[in-house]
Amino acid sequence: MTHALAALDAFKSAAPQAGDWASILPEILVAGLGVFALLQALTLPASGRWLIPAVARVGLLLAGFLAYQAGESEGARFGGLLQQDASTHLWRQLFLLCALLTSLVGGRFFRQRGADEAEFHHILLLVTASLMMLAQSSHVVTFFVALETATVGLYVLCGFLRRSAASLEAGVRYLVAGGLSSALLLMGFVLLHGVAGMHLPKGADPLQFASIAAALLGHGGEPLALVGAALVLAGLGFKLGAFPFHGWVPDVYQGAPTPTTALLATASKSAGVVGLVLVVSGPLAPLAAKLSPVLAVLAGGSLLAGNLAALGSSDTKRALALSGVSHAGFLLAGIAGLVTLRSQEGVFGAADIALPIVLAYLLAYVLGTFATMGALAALPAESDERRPLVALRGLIRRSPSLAAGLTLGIGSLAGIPPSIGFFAKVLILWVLVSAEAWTLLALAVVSVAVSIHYYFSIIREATVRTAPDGEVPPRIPLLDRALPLGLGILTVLLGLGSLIKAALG
Amino acid sequence: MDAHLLHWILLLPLGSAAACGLLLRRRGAAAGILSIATAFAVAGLALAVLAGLAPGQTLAWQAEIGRLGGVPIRVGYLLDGHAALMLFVVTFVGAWIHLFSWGYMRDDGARGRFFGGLSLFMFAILGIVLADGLLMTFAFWELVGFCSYLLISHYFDTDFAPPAANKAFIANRVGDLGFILGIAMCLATYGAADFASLKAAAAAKPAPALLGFLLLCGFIGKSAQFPLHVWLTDAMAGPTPVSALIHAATMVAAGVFLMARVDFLLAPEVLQLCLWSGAAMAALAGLCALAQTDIKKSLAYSTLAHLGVMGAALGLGRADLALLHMAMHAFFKATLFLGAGSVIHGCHHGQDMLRMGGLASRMRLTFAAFLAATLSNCALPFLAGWYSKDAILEAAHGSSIGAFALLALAAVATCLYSARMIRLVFLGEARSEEARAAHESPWTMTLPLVVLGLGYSIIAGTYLGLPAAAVHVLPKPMAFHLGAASAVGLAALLLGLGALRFYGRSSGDALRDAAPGAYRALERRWMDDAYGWWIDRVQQPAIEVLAFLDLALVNGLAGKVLAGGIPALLGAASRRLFHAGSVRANAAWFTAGAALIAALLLGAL
Repeated sequence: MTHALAALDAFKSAAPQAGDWASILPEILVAGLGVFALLQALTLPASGRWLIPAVARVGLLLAGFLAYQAGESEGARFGGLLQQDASTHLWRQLFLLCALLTSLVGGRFFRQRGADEAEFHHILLLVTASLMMLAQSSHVVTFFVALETATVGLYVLCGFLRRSAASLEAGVRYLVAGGLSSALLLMGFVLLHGVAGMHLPKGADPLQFASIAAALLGHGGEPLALVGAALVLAGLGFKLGAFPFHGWVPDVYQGAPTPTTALLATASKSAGVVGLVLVVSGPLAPLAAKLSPVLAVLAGGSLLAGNLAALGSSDTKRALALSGVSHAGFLLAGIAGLVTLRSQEGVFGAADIALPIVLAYLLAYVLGTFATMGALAALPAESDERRPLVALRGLIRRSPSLAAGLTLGIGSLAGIPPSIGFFAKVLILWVLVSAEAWTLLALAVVSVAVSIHYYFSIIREATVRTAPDGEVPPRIPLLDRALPLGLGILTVLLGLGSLIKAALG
Repeated sequence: MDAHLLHWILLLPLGSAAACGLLLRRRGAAAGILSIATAFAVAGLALAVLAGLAPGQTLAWQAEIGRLGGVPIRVGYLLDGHAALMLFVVTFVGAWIHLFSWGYMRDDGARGRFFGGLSLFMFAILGIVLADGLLMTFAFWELVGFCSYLLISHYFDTDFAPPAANKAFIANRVGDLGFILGIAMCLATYGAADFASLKAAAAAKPAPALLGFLLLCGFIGKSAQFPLHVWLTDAMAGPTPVSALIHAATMVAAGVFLMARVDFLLAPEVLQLCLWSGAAMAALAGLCALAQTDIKKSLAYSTLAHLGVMGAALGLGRADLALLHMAMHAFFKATLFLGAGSVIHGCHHGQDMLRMGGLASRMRLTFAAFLAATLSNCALPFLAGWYSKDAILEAAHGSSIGAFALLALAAVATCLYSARMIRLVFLGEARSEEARAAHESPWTMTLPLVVLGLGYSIIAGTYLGLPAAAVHVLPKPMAFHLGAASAVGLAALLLGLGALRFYGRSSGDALRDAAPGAYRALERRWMDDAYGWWIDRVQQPAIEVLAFLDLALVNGLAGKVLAGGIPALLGAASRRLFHAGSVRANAAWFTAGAALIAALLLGAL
């Protein structure tokens, strides 16, 4: 009898409280917009279809405004299924930004290739809503369901050009790799759940992140828990595209339609980052001292593997995919530093700044990636999956604005001052210095130097080398040219802004 | 008297330069009027400031304009006696030369650019005059160098002006490298670079010889001292008013002014060096002036000789004499250049003295002013140049007989080339059509000649017409007395009279006819040849070796192998390792990765 009453209490506590629904209004809005996109497709006449992306974009801006308004509101929602804090709202805005930019890059791209724009926006918005849920989940079930919902949507977007064999192949490759990683992740959670269930008092929910952490606090050394942690890390390593789970990255990035590639590189990688941050500061927090060397190995491996493999790459999308692996390395390095700092000094001091720094790095990476991918998507190509470096030759003559956007975006990705990418890299290096991770610091610096080689070979093709005469460049619409250029200029302006702020501060 | 008027004096020319450069580029007449009006307004303001300044009083002002890494950056004025004299010379001579330019540049198509450059130069030189420290001086020091470059290359479509401008700029860079190192050393040694602090600090702790030498480098470059003197004669490629203002009266004298401001930092060894190189250059440059047929080049050598005399005075530790000579020289040398400009204008831009002659009767006013300035140049007793030059000769006689001998030779050479110039240009028969058709210049050109030539070149030595605040730092005007210096001076004048007859003998150059070897030796530019040899035989081969290394090592080894081959190999290898393209390989890596992490966590690795 008491047992049943306790279960009832647990259920009651999980029932929505006042304000729970309001706290996830941005997610509801985005998901609702996703459904609305399909409804519009059914009801609108052909002449009114331009409304679909327009409504989606306005809605994304509105959701971003709501997330911004949420400010620093924090607390547990839905009886501990979700947990919001100040950073939650930043993650939401980051995912909304990725969605908005993907919509801007992808709209004309898919229309031109005969793909359904409404369906594209539908999936994009659902993926975004799931990722926003992921960023605030504090329970194994919400975490896993949000991540899986987003990943399933991404499978579809990878194979979205159904008439292109390469796109379909990318979808299948992503499906197989993603399925394997989901299995690993789920298995890891099951093991952690088992450990927690064994050691927790009755009535505590062993799927709750906080409960798992409480159980691991005294029993973190158990092999079962450690294997579980390893499998969770492996599953998230796939989303991040980190070493040694990055084998799929170049093939999928290359084959997927370029707007999807941009989304994979930014939103999906950010999902890996936020998932990892939530896991290492939630259920696995007691293992911090053991996790930090593992994260450092993954970070160092990603930096090396990504940069080395990108050297001498002859395809632009492939090179950028591999550079994304090295960016995952940088992000992992930041998280490793964060974990190290936390294990050393509790939750105060430098560790508190490490998370905003990782977020700032992601913002810089998102802007640089969309500037670059936006320029690529705007360029006409025989087939989207083959974009050799030599095809960029003489871009500066054909379209100076695209060449400028591409160059500035690449410059920010490479970390050339005064772009925002430079400051993002410097801040990560600062975290590594604070955490006294000297080996990782050395690897990071060397990898920046190495990466200049392939980044500049892209810039050189686009700006220095000249194309053979005779080709009349096709006209590229204003929006497609303005977006990369605007983002490229934004990276420089934000960088200069940081510089001025740093100088004044 | 407060310092606010000094702001106007400094900034008015900048405003004029900005207006000419940005708005009046195509409206030469408006630019000219603005620039000339500004120059006279600045001269008037300067006279007002100087009149309100009691002898011995200094005017100082300082403001912090920002901080660099916590170190305050200050600008400020220090108007003491030295600066007062320089301020008067710069604004007064500058204003008359501006007026002269109106007539001289009448037919030029780029008057807007020209007058904008002149105004910018006035801003820059006034910045040097007023600056209260080495840092501000250096900033304006570079700006005068830039203006000099700009104005020398005024005729940039000729084939001689741009190289001349480059040469001037590069030679000055060499000197300025030393100068800026000297400033850095000042900051390192004394922790300050403003004159007042430096003076107080140097009294407690004498400056090392190296510091003085480095500062002297700035003087050597700007004042065209040996061995960087080579740029000044080439700089005559600029318009004649520019030669008068920048390359005779003011900018090249700025080096002397700077040395006078920091004379407390000059160690005895530095003074010795300054004395000997100055005296030697005075003698040699004076002789070289004998072997130039271009009237402006000949005058440029004369300027070099006088700068040598000033350097020698500095070396004797007599900064007051150096400044006095700087001022006197500014008056008569500006007149000589303006006179030459008037002659060139009259002869339709012919500059060859051998194609002139007999101009005395055709250009009476020009001749009168030129003659007065020439006599002042030759140190005829009681004219302006005599007061300073004889005093320097006398000081040298009391200190070093070798330097005195060299300066005496310089005095003789001065009289010889002056006589030659008068003979070839103004006396005798006209030797070309242009000379026969020559005519007097308009009043805008002759009025400055009258003021500076018939006025200041004659009376300035008695300090008539000079502001009291400026005279304060100068030595008392000396009376005539028979001594070694006056004996040399009189002998030189007599030799000059002889030269007047000697050059009358030939329709060409009498010295060239009589002693062609000596003439060619003087005409030849030994230092340019030495630099040429160094560049061709030493620098160029060394650069070729470096270029080869660059091609072989950097381009070949680093570029092709390190940057091209090795990355490609590494890339291909790691792509083969991780990205075989098969889904099975991906899955294998996944499993291996999970196992790796588990092993790490379990402590098995």
